[in-house]
Amino acid sequence: MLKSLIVKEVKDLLRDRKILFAMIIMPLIIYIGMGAAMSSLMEQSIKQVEETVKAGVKIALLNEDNGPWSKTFIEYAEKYWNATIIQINTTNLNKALNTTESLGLRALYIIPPGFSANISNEKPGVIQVYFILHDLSITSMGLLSVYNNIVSGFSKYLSSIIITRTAKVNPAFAMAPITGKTQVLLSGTIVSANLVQALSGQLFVLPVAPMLVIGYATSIAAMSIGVEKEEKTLEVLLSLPIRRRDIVLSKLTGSLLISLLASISMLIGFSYYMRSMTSIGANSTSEATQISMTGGIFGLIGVPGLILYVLSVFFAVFLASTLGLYLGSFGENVRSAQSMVGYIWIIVFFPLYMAIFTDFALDPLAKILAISVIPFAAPLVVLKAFLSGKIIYGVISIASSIGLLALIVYLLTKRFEGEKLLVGKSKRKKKSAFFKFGF
Amino acid sequence: MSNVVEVEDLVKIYPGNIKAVDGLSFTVREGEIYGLIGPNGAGKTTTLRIIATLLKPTSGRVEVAGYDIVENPDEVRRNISYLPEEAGAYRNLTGVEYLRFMAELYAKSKEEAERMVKEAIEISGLGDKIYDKTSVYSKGMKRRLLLARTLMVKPKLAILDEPTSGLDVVHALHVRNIILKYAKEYKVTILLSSHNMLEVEYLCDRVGIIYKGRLYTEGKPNELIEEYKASNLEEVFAKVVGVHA
Ligand SMILES: Nc1ncnc2c1ncn2[C@@H]1O[C@H](COP(=O)(O)OP(=O)(O)O)[C@@H](O)[C@H]1O
Ligand SMILES: [Mg+2]
Repeated sequence: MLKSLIVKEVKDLLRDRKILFAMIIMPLIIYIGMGAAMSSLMEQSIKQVEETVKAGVKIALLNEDNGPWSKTFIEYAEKYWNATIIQINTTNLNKALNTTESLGLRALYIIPPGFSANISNEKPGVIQVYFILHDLSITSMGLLSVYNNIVSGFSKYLSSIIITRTAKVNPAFAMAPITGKTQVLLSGTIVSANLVQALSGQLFVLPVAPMLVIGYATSIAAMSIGVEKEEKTLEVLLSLPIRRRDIVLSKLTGSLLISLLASISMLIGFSYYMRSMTSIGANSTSEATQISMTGGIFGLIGVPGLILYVLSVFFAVFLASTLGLYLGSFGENVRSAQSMVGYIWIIVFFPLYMAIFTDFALDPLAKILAISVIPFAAPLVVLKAFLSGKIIYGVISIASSIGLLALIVYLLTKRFEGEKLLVGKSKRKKKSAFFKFGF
Repeated sequence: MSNVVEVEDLVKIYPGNIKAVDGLSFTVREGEIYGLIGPNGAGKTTTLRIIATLLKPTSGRVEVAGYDIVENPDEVRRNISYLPEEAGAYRNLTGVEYLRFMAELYAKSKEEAERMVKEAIEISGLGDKIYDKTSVYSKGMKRRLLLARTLMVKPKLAILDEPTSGLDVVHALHVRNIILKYAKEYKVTILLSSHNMLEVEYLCDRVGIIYKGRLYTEGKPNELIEEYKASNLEEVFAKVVGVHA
């Protein structure tokens, strides 16, 4: 009997193309598409900057010094950067910038009066760099660093000249007697600082798909109750010789199946996304492949961590759809059922981002515990718990999700046992129900 | 003859202190077609929903097939089949899938379920349309499908809330004929409601006239017409309730 209820529920849900799209295809598109788009855009930007440098940058120069050292700078830029220096003559900064722009150049260098005299007297000189920017992009940021590097490169070049003149040492050695080489021991694996930065970047995009999928899961679940009311099938359903518990169970199973599909698709998409993002972030290809083979962060938390992570994602989606069933039962039709859950993403969004900003190794235990008991934070709490070796918090987090799930299932069963589900409430009471559950 | 339904002093007050049923008593005997008739808002749907275990009475006692609806709702549900006033089918399922789903909830074996579905297809008279999704059905077709699913399980008691309301002549006629035919053939006791007092004259063995949640009079249609010296049940209603057209 329960079986035929479940079969009907699942048939009903899976025949809806919109549901299939939202739960299975959308997460794949988001992650795989985002991964592919971001890595190819990033590579394009890098190539663009490299090509600009290769072709030789063009720089406007306002030389108010005209001494020997400013001449050295021009020679340096032309020789080592293949730069084209276009000198402009004005003492007004605004005019100089206007001229630079009208020449179609991106950078204006100003060498102030007394620059050469200063250096000759062993006082530091200043070269001002004005970078003309019309949009914020990765390419522009790459170019900005190129224009800065010309100046800092010149500084090193000067150092070696000065050292060669005054001391009998190898200038390369004198300028950099020590190099720091940063490696990070991240949860037992030694990786470069660059890779760690790439991995923590991943954390910020991590909640995007869960939020969308959870939002959809809730609204699909709310819809499955709203539809029963709107299409007037609920009244027959409630008069059938089936236990109320079985009706709730079949609705939950429908949501469960959808959650399962969504979680699987989300995980496939996400591991793909991490692979493409990690390969940009790492400086050494072998390290990148080594970690991306195992799926970025997932490679660091090991198989138990991965299992718990999958569980946490699954419970988050399942919890959301159960909540959707419950909240949706307060609506009278599909539209009002959905409006009851329209803001559900907020209670998913905040916990996830709160978890991102919590450091499981450095923050006080009370704060970590507080984050861990917030149900929807579970996916990130599990990741961080395993990275930091404080696995217990991952377990707590999943346990709290299960606890809330049990509570909602209980409330839902109570609702199906009473007559409110069918009768609704009088006009005045409806409003208070909305405030109570509309978030 | 034993009673399939016994209603005694039934009262239902909705939230907001709306008294929908006000001390209603009547019985439905085994094998008969009993009609609760009365205008809109008389309390028919509320009464039927209580008998179908969907609503809880505020006070009073209701028994179906000897089971109390409050103490034994699961047993009551096993003995009834209910057609709500406004009912739909799952739009993503075809007519036959809907029937099969319902049959599996009642039948003890696959064979029994298939037999029910086969009979329901015949009852509905929908022909090949039974293989279409119910989302394309007209109101009349949907009603026939739902009536077929109500009767196919051969319940002890079928509760039909306004089975013909809102249907055109052709569909209404078909529905009435189904009720008459299968009530006798399946030996199903039927409790139905209607605000159409003329159709019940032809359909029901006995009728109860209900108004403002109270039963005003009860009996066989022709006897009531005779008793009140009226020409039809509508006139009986007007005389009993004291409203004049
Ligand atoms: N869910 C409800 N909440 C409040 N009042 C209701 C509800 N359902 C019905 N009523 C009221 O109860 C009375 C009887 O309604 P109903 O049983 O539907 O009558 P009928 O089926 O005879 O037309 C009406 O006055 C109606 O407004
Ligand atoms: Mg009614």
